[in-house]
Amino acid sequence: MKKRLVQNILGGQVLAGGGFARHWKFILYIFALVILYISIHFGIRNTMQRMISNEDTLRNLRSEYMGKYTRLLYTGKRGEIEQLLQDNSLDLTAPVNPPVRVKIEED
Amino acid sequence: MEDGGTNKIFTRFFFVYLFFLLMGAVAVLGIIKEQFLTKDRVTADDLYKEQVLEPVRGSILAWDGKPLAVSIPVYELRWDSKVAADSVWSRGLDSLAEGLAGIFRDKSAAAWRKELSAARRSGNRYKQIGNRTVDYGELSEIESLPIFRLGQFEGGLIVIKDNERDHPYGSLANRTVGTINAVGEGAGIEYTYDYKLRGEKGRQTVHRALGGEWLPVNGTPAEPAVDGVDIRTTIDVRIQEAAETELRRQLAMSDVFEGGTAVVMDVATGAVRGIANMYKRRDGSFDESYNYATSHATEPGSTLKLAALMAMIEDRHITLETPVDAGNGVWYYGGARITDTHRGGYGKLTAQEAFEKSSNIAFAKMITESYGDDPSVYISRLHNMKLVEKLNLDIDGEGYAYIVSPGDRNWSVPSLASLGYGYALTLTPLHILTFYNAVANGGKMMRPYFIEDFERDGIAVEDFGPSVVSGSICSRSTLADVRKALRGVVENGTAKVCNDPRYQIAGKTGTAKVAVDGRYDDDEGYRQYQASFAGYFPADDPKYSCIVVLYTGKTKGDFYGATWAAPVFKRIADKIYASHPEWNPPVYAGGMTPPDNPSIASGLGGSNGMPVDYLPMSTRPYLKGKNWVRIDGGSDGELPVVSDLEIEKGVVPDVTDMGLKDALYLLENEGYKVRFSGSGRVSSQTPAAGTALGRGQRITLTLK
Repeated sequence: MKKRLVQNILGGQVLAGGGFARHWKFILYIFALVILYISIHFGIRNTMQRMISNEDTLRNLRSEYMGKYTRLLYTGKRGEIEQLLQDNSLDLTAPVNPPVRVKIEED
Repeated sequence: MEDGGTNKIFTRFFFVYLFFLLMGAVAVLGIIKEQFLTKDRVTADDLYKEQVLEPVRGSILAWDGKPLAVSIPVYELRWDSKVAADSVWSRGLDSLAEGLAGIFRDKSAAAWRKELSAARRSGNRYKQIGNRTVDYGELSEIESLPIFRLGQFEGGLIVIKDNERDHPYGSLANRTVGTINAVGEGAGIEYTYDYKLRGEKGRQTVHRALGGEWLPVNGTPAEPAVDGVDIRTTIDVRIQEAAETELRRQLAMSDVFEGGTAVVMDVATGAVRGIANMYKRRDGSFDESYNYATSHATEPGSTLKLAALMAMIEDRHITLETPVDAGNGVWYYGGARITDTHRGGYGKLTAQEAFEKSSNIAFAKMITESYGDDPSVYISRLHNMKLVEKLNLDIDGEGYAYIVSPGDRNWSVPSLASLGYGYALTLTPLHILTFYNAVANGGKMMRPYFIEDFERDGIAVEDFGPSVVSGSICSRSTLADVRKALRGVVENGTAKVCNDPRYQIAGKTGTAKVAVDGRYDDDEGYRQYQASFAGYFPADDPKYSCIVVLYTGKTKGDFYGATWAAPVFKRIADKIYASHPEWNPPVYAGGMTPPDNPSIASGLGGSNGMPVDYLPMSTRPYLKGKNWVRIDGGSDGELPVVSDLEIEKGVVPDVTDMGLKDALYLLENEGYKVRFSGSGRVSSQTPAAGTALGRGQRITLTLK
């Protein structure tokens, strides 16, 4: 009995049996589900990889921004500007009087 | 025949089948061998591991949100000179040297060429590139240079990433910002609020995917890292820079100075807008290694005559017109010799004149006559004025304020007279400034503070802000009198150097000898001075209060507050005056609109404080809560018109005239893929607005 069962499986006769023929749609459905599962799994993995890569890019861009921003802040210091004016022999001087706000009235 | 053929096919099929079966069996055996028989087999540890997630340390910000201290990744560069092939080396050396010279700017391309060649000749496998670390932008440039662009294994460039605490304004507010080392020792905000700044580490389990990448199990960390909060201080960068620059300049004028401090406070709130501390190092330069302003409690000298004047007026012992005889410049009280600096003495004065000229004798006489019967009344009055109140500062290291009182071991008969002109008590510069600030603030004493709030992503999560120490330190009439006297010091007295026709300063000079081992002069006649000026401006509507204190080493010269500290105050005040628009009323344009209205980009209109709220336009729609708006017109003198931008699913929205940030956000949220070229605003889009287009389709933008 056992030998026959093994022979049927190895010989492929089991596929020709009534069970497979009757339920081929269901088996196809299960097969499709398995394929879908694998596809989604790989899709998620790829998305996660992209997320990690994007996060890394964002961090790097933020680093680049901060690096440039901090250099500009230092250059924009009043003392630095005055030094640059002096180094370049420009006769611009620091203001003596405060700026004045101009208010524009609406119609 | 048929049976024979079938058997043949079956036999062949059987062998093919057997072959695959055997291959399968080999594979299974291989797995069993790897899992159970091989020593260095793949274990769960090779596929899964716990990863610690490092938080980002919070930034320390100035009052307006600009960073004073911020953590940024930096990269140390090393080079394995033996990696690059000879052909690559000879072809790329010149361009590499020129590139490095352009980025580091510390030496010429020829010098770089020589240095790199020497390293390659000697076979250096860990040559340092550059004399400093580089940021990400510079790293990107370096990684695109010839030879280095081939990477570590073909070009030899080794990149070591680290995090550095960057101070965009250099040493500005160095003492307040502070430091902390690896073992948790330090000073300033970095140290005091380290527990808030450092954040919390997270952890996650990651598994190795087929490509070798480590991905988090279940997609998200079990314990995400919590970044540290940002701390927004009260420091105004412009005021801080003015205080530091002017203090440093004054200290550089004499070798006798050992240090100094300058503090600027916002009158209405008590917020410290600038605080500079300079301490002389062994090499003669100054740094911020000691916080004089908050920690250095000394006898203040004549700046405290303000408290004596206030107390005597408040207790109705004197008025500003009360006469007092300052005599010939020397007066003895309880065996102590009291002198004035004016040769020959000031003679007869009113109380106001005595204050303006800062006569020690006049104040000693007035205070002893007023409170001689019961000195404790005067001591109580000083306490009531919160002069020695513990300030409970939000940074560590507050100095101890102390008044000698009757019954104390240090109390003697002359103590009351000494209290009249600022001795026999110790106060930090910040205590004195807090008192002057209260006078400027209509009698309301504000607690000085350095921290505005803790923030996350620019949103306050914990507010600090102003707090009141005393609602009123004296009556209104007394306040009016002392403010008049303070103004008189600048107009007629010792601080004429601060008189300015553009705006009014009020304040008081102070010159105190510093007691060393209980003596003010040593056997050889050397002494140490503390020269100070405390005040506020503009005198008629005070906005800022300020104190400047300079400390000398041993000297036989004289260092007066009027000649050394007051000019620093004046220069700081001038810079604040010249850079802040609040001194003068605004100029009204008389109903005129600008000749050419600014061209405003369309985009997301829901945020508060959108610039459009402040611009002139024909209609001013309520933008808050609205999503997307179109802004048309606004050029050639016409007023811009704001209208809702309709967004329909499956229809391409009109993103023309938007900035790229808004256009990308809108289109990608609608499910489209976006490609763009150019810079500026969106000038055209393909497909055009209104076209039916499914999700995932591409839209091309041209910016101009």
